[in-house]
Amino acid sequence: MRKYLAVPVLAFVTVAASGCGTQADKRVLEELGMISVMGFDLEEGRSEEEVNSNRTTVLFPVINPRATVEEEVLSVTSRSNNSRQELSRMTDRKLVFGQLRTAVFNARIAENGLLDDLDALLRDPTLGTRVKLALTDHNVHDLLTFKHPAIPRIGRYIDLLLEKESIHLFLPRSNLHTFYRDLRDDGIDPVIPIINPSTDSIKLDGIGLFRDDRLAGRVKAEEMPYFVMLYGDFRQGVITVQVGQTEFVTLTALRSERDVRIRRKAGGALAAEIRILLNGSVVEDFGYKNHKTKKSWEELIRKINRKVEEKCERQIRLMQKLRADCIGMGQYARRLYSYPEWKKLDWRETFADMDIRVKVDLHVKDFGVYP
Amino acid sequence: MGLVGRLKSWFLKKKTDNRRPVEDGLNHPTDDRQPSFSLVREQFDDCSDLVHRSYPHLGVDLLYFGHMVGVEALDRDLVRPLETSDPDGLAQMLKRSQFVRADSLTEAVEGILDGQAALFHKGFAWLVHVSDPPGRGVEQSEVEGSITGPHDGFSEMASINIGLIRRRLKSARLKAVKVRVGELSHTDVYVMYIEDIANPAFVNELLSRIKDIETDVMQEANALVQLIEDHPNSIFPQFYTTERPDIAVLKLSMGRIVVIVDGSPTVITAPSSLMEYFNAADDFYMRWISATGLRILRFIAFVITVSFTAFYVSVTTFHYELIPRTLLVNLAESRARVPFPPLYEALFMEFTIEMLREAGARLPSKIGQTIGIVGGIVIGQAAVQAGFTSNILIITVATSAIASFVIPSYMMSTSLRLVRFGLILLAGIWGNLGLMLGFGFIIADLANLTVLKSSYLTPIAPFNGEDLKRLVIRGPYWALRERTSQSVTKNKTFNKMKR
Amino acid sequence: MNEKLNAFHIVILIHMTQVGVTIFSLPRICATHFGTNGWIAILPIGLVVFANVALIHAVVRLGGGRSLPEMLGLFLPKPVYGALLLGMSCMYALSACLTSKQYVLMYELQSFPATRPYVFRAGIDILIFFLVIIGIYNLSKAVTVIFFSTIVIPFTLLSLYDETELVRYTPFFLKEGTDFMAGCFEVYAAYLGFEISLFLIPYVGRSTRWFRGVYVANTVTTVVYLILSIIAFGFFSYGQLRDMLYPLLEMTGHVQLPIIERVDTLMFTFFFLVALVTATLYFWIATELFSYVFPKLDKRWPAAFLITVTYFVSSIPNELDLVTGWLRIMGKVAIATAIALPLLLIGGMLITRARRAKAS
Repeated sequence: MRKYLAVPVLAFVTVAASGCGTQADKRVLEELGMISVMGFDLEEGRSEEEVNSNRTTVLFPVINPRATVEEEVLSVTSRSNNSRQELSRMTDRKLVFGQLRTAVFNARIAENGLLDDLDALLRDPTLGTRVKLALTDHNVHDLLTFKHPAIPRIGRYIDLLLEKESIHLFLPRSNLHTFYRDLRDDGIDPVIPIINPSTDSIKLDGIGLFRDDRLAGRVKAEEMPYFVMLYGDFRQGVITVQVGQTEFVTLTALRSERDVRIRRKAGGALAAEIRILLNGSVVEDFGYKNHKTKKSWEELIRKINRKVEEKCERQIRLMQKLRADCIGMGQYARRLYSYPEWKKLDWRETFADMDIRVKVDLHVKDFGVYP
Repeated sequence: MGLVGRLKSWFLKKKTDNRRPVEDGLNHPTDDRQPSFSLVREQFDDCSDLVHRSYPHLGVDLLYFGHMVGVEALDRDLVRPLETSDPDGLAQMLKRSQFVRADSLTEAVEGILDGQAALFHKGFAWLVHVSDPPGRGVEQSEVEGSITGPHDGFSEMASINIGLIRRRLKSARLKAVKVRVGELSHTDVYVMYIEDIANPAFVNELLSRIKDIETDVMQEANALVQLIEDHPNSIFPQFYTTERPDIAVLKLSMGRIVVIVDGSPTVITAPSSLMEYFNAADDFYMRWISATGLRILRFIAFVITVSFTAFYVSVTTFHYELIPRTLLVNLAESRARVPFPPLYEALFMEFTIEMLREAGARLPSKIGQTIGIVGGIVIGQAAVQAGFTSNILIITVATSAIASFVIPSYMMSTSLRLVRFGLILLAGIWGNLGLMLGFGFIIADLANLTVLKSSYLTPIAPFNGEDLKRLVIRGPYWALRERTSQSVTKNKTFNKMKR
Repeated sequence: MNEKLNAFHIVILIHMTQVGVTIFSLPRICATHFGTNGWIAILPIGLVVFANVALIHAVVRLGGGRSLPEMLGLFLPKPVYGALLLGMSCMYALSACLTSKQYVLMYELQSFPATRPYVFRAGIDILIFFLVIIGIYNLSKAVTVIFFSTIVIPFTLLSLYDETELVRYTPFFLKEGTDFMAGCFEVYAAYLGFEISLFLIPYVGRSTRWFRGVYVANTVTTVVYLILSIIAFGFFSYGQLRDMLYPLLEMTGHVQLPIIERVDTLMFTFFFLVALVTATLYFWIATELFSYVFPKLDKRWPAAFLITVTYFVSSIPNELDLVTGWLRIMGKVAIATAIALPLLLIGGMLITRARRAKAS
């Protein structure tokens, strides 16, 4: 039988070997423009009849050993978010999105609702949902064309900045998956980090708090650790706390675990307590007043606890004012209601009226090698 | 056959073949005439290498091939006694056990061809066993070296080979059945097995297949294998071959059957399974943890050699998204200088390496080594600089080649070279799915392979936990208690130690 | 083949046949049709499947070692059951072809968006042909090899455990589900594959305990489905699960391996072998059925015929939605067969017994 099969198989092989069939999908590596960052700006319509359009900027590394630039930036303005057609006319490379790592949005787009703009990213099966998201207050095009001698590749820089922060310091991981997940969960609202260019670098400038898919407010850069302590468990962090008029304590290798307790009070209102267990090492005690006794260290720790609690509670009040439950209290509150009750409840209002307290328990592993 | 008949034979199931084996391999009719000197001499007309010595005072003629007999033995058993004896003494001499009467012409002729000396007296013929055909002695095997363990290897003389085995397996239950194969070559083929360990069904099957062989010349064990295999068209070798007596002895004790072909330093064992081709001789002499580590290394090398280049081709042609970010720009830049698509680049490099390999095998060893180094380093480097290939491809191809040398069995690694090309082609036209398709075909072929009707894929399928200890990892000796299941032996346990 | 299948082979064979491409959409099906914490519905459906398997077990016991056509022949005239068997053969062949087509289309979604599926499908069909003609014993060997090669895949998903959160499961059970029956059919269809045991009867060894393997296989499948769905429900939020088309595929994308990006495409590529097994075994069933009706015909011809014909028939739906729709219909037909056929056989054999008892 093998003999007789040989003829059609051979015929098939010769035809297939010419690549017929898969020719269209050949994406040979060096011919590609592998977009690593994509950005969206809002351009206001010039008059009342003109609809707002979006400016899409893409960035991809240049694969030419003789080129002087490391990356190529292309930009196009159109009504939808999918300007692939026009973009591909602007370069000799075949533009592909499979290596896209970050999508940056101008904050104004986020204020009007991000879901429409994410549609293109969510639908494309070649992207994967680990594409990171970021917001910026400045013009995205300018951000992506930021020139600095120490940063040869913006795309990689942004990617690493976001990645490093989310692993090593205080930043919740934010990508397409987490955004959509929290968006569709009625007990939590999504967050996206904010990056902004400054004079000599691009820096992480806070966290954007969303109410559904609209940007409602933000956490300032200095307050980020406290927000994140409320958000979840983290493993590596640094904070500096001002404990007295002139005394500042810095803790590193900070591990935080949060524990949420919610109960229903009589009358239907909710009260919650978030306990944060901190574990860290003291690495600086600026302006310290000679803490020689155990009691004075304990007093110091108590002061730190109180300071951290204050800052955390401030974040909570911010979120309550914005009606944006970004730390997921709703997920815990769900447990207290039956299904019909939960559906009838307006969680945002309930959240805004809730009495939430924070209790911080700091354990210092060591005080450094200096007394 | 009419049209209907032919259609029928196409469509309907084939009936199984029920031929009975011929008694011996040889099919020519025997010539029963009395072997007189003149008749025998006539058979060897124009063979000027035949030596004729006559002792007219005794009425004795000797016929033998000078290069096939041992001179000392000839001298001691024939020449000297003949020179010093008289007619009565001759009659006495002829009664001695060394002198065997040849009853038919065929017997006499075959005896002379075998290297015996034929003595003709009064119209009768006697054969004297003085044969000592030329051949190598026992030397180390070049193909299968080992670091520890014995270094003697089989030679081309079957008698020496049997001796090397017998001195390690001193048991009367070790049988050696002789079959002659080949009309012209009359090659002695010995089938050896241990009587109550090997499965008799396998022995009989093997013997009947060998006896069925009708060919004129049989010189090499690997040639024999191709005539008795279940699946001659498969890529994979089905009978394990070795040049080392210690391996042969190990296989015999596990219940396998060993076939020795005179004239071939390679010895065949049957039945075999895929895992055996990844066992090196050293494995059994090292400590089990190290041996298992090496075994795992070999499996990884197997996967690498077969699929690494193909994976490179499919990733650079279709699946750029799999490349890690840190490697991306480097890889792309190194490919940017190459004018060909990745498939052709890879095929070109692989082809070059194969040519280097073949060339190295043909050249005498001194030149071969230099060419190997020159080819490997210089050509590779120059190719990258000229922009013919990318340096990452060179690494890929070189790793593939090195990995293929890790596989101990030469036959298996040759088969895999072909498989590698097939996979590269499939990966180049259909990407990763093509690669998987290739694996599917390989698995299908492997699953279909049987050796003497037992499965090639033991111990994975059919699954046998006991065998896994020996074939997949190398278990500690205190845990290996049973012989391999493929031998289908009733005598399973061999390790009866308490610990 | 003079070799017999034993229980271990059967477990792997049936489990691999059951697990197919549908596993990737399973969490979504549970979320959409059964509601919050929908994964829990897998258990009762698994139990119903068990009952179905028990039905087949009863058939095997009653049949006393007879193969399927022999059993049918006891109470049905040849033309009738011949037509039945041919119909079943076509149905299984078409299902197999559509399964492989669905895999190809899903694969093309990710890596080959512009290619038309006929190219890949031709290659896959050739491979399936070779696998079908080597006989069930050799086929089970191939399946065992594939099982051990792909067993790592579900374990990698377990590493995503730390991205799941207990609160995401919501405390509500089975709320907000729509179209309950449709969901049941789809989950049941994911379990299909156990009916191959009916066709294995002529190939098993002497022991009558081989059928235990079928129960074991079903248990393994249930456990795998359950664990993967549970993780999916914790990894995604409920609303998100309803919207994603292939949640398990997404999940694999989040597994991080040091040297490769986009693990999901790679995992799906390895999954090819699993989908191949499902399609091949169904084609094998179809070929067996065909050869029950025409026993003298060399097996390779019906195999080639079925594969070629279904190749062309399944060229009709060329979009993923259409193919999924066709598969849903075929799934319902297959479920009906899986339930009705054993019932028919049991009924028929009991009647035959009663008749014989009356006659003697």
